[in-house]
Amino acid sequence: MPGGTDTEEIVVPDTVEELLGEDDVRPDVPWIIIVWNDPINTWDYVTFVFQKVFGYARAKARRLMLEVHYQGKSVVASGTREKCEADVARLHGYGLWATLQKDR
Amino acid sequence: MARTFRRRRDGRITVRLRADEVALLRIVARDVLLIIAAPPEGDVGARLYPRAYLDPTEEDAENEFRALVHHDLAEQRHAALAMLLDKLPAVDPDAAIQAGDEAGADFDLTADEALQWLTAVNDARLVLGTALGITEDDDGDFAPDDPRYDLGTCYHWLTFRQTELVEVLLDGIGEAGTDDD
Repeated sequence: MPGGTDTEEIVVPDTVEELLGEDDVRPDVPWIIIVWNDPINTWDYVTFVFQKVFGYARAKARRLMLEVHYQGKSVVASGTREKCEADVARLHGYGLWATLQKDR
Repeated sequence: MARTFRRRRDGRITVRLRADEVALLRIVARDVLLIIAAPPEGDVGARLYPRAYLDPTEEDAENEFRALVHHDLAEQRHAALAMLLDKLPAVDPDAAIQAGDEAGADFDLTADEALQWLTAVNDARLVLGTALGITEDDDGDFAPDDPRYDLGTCYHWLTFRQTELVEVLLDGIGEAGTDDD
């Protein structure tokens, strides 16, 4: 390589897994998706969307829907920023009022 | 009254609409198609294309999200409404309303088409509901002398039809989940 010397090459890890090693089990879930209550989307529709987008069972989808309705919002999923952005886009496609933010 | 949506054994969904329902749906879908193409500033636009980030320090990410997603979302919405309209026979609204109870349309939707119908009808409800100022307490049951009465009736009709379709789709998807939980 141009200007190369005999000193050892420094290897910069490309991924978090490389940096931390495969044994690291810290979950990579610093982002969350929040769905906010709105007066137009019906209960059954929101339940269906949660099942369809996240693959949740009916009972879990319904519990999250009720949380949205009665508490005004619910954390419906978590994951990497990219995954959350993609799912928020899908939820917007279904007309749900969804946002993502850092979990704190 | 006959059911609007019926699930067939092969997974397709049969749709049956009266002539006046076809006329109403065509009028609504055409209007919403125009609104989707050029969403107005204000509540309706914000409801169709909400922010992904509420945190004002994420403005760069928000702009990137809008740039990436909005065009696709608009195309997806347009395609769904266009498909819905495509399935409906052209009818003369006056004649259709005269015809009343007469059968207006009878056709099948594939599973994917049924999903498009669902989101198209929901988009119409979002547009109408937002324009009508629907809230939890004021859900569109306007008095007959209220100027919003006709549109409110239309909104409710869409809600009933959508609820029927969701029922059929929930039956199809079943109770079990596919996630790891």
